[in-house]
Amino acid sequence: MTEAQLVEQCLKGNAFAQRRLYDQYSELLMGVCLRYMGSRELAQDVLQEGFIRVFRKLDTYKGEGALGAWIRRIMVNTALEHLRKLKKQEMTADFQEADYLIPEREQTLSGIGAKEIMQLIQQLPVGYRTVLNLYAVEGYNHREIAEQLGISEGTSKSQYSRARNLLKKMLNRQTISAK
Amino acid sequence: MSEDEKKGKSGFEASLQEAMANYREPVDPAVWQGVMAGMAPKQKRRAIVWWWWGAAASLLLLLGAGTLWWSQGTQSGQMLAEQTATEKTAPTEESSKGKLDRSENEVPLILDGSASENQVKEDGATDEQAAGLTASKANTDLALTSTNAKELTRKLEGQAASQDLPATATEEEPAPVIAANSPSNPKTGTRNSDGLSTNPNAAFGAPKQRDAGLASTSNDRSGNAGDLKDTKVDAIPYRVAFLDVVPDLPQQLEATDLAVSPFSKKSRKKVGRSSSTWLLAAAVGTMQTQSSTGSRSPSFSTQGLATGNPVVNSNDELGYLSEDASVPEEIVERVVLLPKPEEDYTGSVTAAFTVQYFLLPRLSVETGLLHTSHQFSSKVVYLNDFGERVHLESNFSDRYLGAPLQLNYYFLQSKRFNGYVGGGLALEFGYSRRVSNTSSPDDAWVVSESSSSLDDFNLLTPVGLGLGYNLGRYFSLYAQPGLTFFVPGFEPEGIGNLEVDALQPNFRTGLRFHF
Repeated sequence: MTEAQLVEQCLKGNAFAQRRLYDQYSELLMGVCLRYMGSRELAQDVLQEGFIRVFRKLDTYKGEGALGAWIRRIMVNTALEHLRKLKKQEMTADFQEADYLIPEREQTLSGIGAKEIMQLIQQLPVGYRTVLNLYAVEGYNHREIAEQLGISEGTSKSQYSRARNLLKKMLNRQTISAK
Repeated sequence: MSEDEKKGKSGFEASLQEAMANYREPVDPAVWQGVMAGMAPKQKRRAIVWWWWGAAASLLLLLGAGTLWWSQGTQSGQMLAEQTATEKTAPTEESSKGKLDRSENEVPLILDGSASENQVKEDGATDEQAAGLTASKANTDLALTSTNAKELTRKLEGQAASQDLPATATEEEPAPVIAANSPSNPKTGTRNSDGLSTNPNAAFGAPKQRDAGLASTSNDRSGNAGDLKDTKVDAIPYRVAFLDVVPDLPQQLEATDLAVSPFSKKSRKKVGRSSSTWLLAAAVGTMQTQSSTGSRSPSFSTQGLATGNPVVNSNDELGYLSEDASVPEEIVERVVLLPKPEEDYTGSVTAAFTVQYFLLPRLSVETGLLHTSHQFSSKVVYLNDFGERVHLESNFSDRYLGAPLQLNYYFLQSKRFNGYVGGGLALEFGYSRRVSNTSSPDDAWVVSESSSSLDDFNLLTPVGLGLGYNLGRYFSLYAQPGLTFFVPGFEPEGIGNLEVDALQPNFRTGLRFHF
């Protein structure tokens, strides 16, 4: 079954097609949610709500671009909505702490598994984690991030810089402890 | 993305993106259940909408069918009983074939009613309890004063004379034979001009020697012996009777349901046929010819009318007088004038399930199954075998199954509603005729229903303006008032002498599947 046929069947309410679509993307999107939400429980909540939106909005999918990318955008937006519900203070609470996080050396991700990286990202403060995900993984620029999160572009840049330094420091610790 | 940002992403970010881009994490099964649960409310709402419309459609169809059924079964429940004070009468088959044209007004006349009136009052007037029909009441209803009777007699005689018709009971001219006219139905060829001739009910005569008179009438209804055998009513040898006024009713003797109410609709109760034989007889107007076997048993004769002398009154109403020479002059002779039967075609209702295919975005061809009920009604007044005047209202529902071939042009196609004009050809095959009769002998009324097969077919060209309501993607409910043009020679069989006009209104409703 092609992607278009899968979408068509889902639009007709075919439960098997809906399950097939879910199976095809759920694990990948669970990874996305987990990066944003920090906990498995919250990630699953976002995943669930995101898929509901996907099925309900599937009739707006015009076939322009990959279906996976379209679903991923919905999932990211769903995660961001959840995050917006958090207090703004929570989003920026760790900024001061981050100022003191100075990387000891340039850190690469070679030799570190994706699961470990995921665990480190999840440990980042919410604000840092969000900007890092949007900028480094999703590919948004700071202006888009600022619009998405309702912050200034400068704030986005500084947050990303601090998130980056913090993650590098955490990677160093991870590497040292592994040795 | 700025150049700086691109440069900034070249190292750490690229490796991070690479590591996370295809990162997968197992998902708990509960998530899918949550997704389904989250989808459920909307699906449930849709289901509810479907059920609602399904129920509404079913209700609509049931209401339509029920209304149709009810309209056939219980019309004229409030018909007032009216009876005339005639002594026992009897039908003659010979005379039932006459076709006579009478005015709508009914005028009971007594040529010489004094003797009978008095006699009956003396002897039979108190026997009210058995049948609700008393001799005194009967006579009171009908009887005119002696003076009036004489005047009317003179009128009748004068008119009869002017038409070269014998006007008195003593003239010996043979009665003209009222021939049956039979311009039959083009399809069946079985009906005469007024559709009444096949019924033996209409003409009434009386034997020369009669024992019971009204007493036997009471007897018959109540099962109690009447004691009127000594009354002078016995001497009344002859009943002047009239015309064939009852439509094709013999088959209605197959009535399966009989309800009798002596008072009102509310007090209607079901009774068995055996206990209401006389009412059934009244309802269907069928005169059972019996022999005179006893003083308490009603006796009817088929003699008399055929040899009676026609008279015409000032309303051009025609009746017969006895020509029996043995009847003493003082014997009552009565002429009961009955109104002309009314027969109407009241339209048709069609329930349909059809399928249509869109040839063009706005043009579709449609076929399917039609169930059409052609409605007729008739009102007749006749004399039953007890001489009572019976008002009989009958509603006929001729039912046909058919198939249309129709083109529809949609001028309105919205998400919910659609409007169209359509027309085409349809063929209908009759399969059943249901008849509902309501008659009112005296102060009781009788409702009976019967059904019979209907061997008929119609060819018609229906056109209509329809409005539909879309039920989802494939179905719609619609109502289509319109006109039906029957191809000459292929119109509904109808009733009596009624000729159904070629152009008739029709209301069609149904469920349509379209693709």
